[in-house]
Amino acid sequence: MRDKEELFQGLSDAIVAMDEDETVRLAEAVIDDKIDPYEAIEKGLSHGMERVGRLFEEEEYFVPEILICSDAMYAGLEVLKPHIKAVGTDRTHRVVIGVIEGDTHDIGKNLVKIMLEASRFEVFDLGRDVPPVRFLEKAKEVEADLIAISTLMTTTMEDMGRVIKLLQEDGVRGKFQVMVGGGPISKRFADRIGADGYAVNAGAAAKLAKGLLGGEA
Amino acid sequence: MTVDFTRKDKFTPLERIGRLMAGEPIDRVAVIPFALSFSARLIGIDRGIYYREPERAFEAGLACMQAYPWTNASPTYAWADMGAWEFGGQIVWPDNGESAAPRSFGPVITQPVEVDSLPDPDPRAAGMMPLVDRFNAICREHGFPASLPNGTPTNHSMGIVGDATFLRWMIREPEAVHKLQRKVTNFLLKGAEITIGKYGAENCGALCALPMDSNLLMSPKAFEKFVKPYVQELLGYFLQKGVRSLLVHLCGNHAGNLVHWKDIPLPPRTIFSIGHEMDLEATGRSIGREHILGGNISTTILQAGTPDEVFADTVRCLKGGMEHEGGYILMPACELPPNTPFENMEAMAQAVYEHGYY
Repeated sequence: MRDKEELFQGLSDAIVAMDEDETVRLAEAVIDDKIDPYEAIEKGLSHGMERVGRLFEEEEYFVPEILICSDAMYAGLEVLKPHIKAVGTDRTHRVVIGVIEGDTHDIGKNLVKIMLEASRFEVFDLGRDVPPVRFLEKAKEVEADLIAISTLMTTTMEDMGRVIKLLQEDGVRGKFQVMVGGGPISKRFADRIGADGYAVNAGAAAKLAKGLLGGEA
Repeated sequence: MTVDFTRKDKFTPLERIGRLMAGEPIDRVAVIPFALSFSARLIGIDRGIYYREPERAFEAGLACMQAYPWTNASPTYAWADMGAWEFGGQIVWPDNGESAAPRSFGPVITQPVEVDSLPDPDPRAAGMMPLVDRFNAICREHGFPASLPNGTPTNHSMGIVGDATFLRWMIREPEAVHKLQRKVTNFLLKGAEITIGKYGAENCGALCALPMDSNLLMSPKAFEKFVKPYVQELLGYFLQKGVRSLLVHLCGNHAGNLVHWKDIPLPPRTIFSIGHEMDLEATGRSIGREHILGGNISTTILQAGTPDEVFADTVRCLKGGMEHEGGYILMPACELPPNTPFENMEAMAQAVYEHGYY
């Protein structure tokens, strides 16, 4: 029997080291040793991705590194998730995310999705080139807490405001927090269209989401 | 036009840019609006038509020159999402204003082993190249320069395999990245050779835009390893052939890459235009007095800001750029947003009129 704290630290280190094989090996050890897989996700995989997020903000890591770290995280999740027992009515916060219609640049959206999932949000990814009404429909369908909209193009940024107008017209604006981001987006623009928050990058987006939803995911 | 520049201008835009390139004193800052499909609105055509029909793009460019005679607008035809179409994939046109510019339908290959089986396309027939050649022919008929293949090999490579795959390969499959960059560089060199052979180096100009090589995506070390050698080769070829007109557009944040440009062969008086993420003064110090600085009015403000905000951001740029000893050109931080309100162009003009004279 290995010390569980050592295993968690090992998982975290393996994520930061971009070592997918080691992440899987340690995740399997967690299962073999009958350690709580949920705790291993929180204190191992998520902890590792938090460190990755900090390295990204400090410009030690860039997008290639984040992608490889997240591959390791998802590989670890594949091993651990099937062993998590459903616990009563516990429900993680739900996020509907997508790139607004007319834009197919999705690297930023995918990074935000990674950091949200690493922070244990349940993410419903609509993909790219998403019509505004789809955000409304999906958010209602899955009873989301938050809608996250991304774009890299100035030609499509105004349609982010269209999503908010649709929520208002449908009488459900108060049910969902809305955050926006992407190359041409600024806090000022977010305020102008009535969004609840703006994040400058993926790490900041995960923090913002937690803040908007009152702390924990 | 509400701002009457003739009351203060001593030079025409053409004389001004000529003197700036020659390092001679000028009356006020030159302005390059970096207008592409923005111009389509001036002649009432859809962006899809603009990009599908280079003849209409040229007509739109002339209309932009006429509408903004205080600038150095000129007919321009380019887009950023290249590579997939040229190497056997498909393109989606921006019909009915659905997107800003043509874009790749999807990656052509997804596995490293497939790089070897990629075609070696003929630059005379592949993807956008015949359209660019049609545009070049019209430009030369009217005395404008012909355009050499624009962008860097990375643009094309990311179009061929998809951006996330390319970025993953930088760590997992570095040899495949080099093979791909090699193949694309060969294609661009061949295209440049054909264009230079047809029109003469003295009649050619190049726009080297680097949207995918920025530090928003990759580290300066990755730039040095995977991008720099191929840009050195491409721009070195332009220089060796005698091309003297080069605009390097550092799209996004390239602050960490600036040091590497000292090792890349450039003609004197290369124009470096920068994204809104970069600082004009710091960039000016890095490129030195030999080269011209350009930039960097926020494209977000240009499209979504008020005229007052555009005026203020233009003044910020003028203050930051006009001190550069190598000379300065006022430009947007990227392509002029196609939906920029016309009154915001007037606000830019007013700021230049009030704050842009030396």
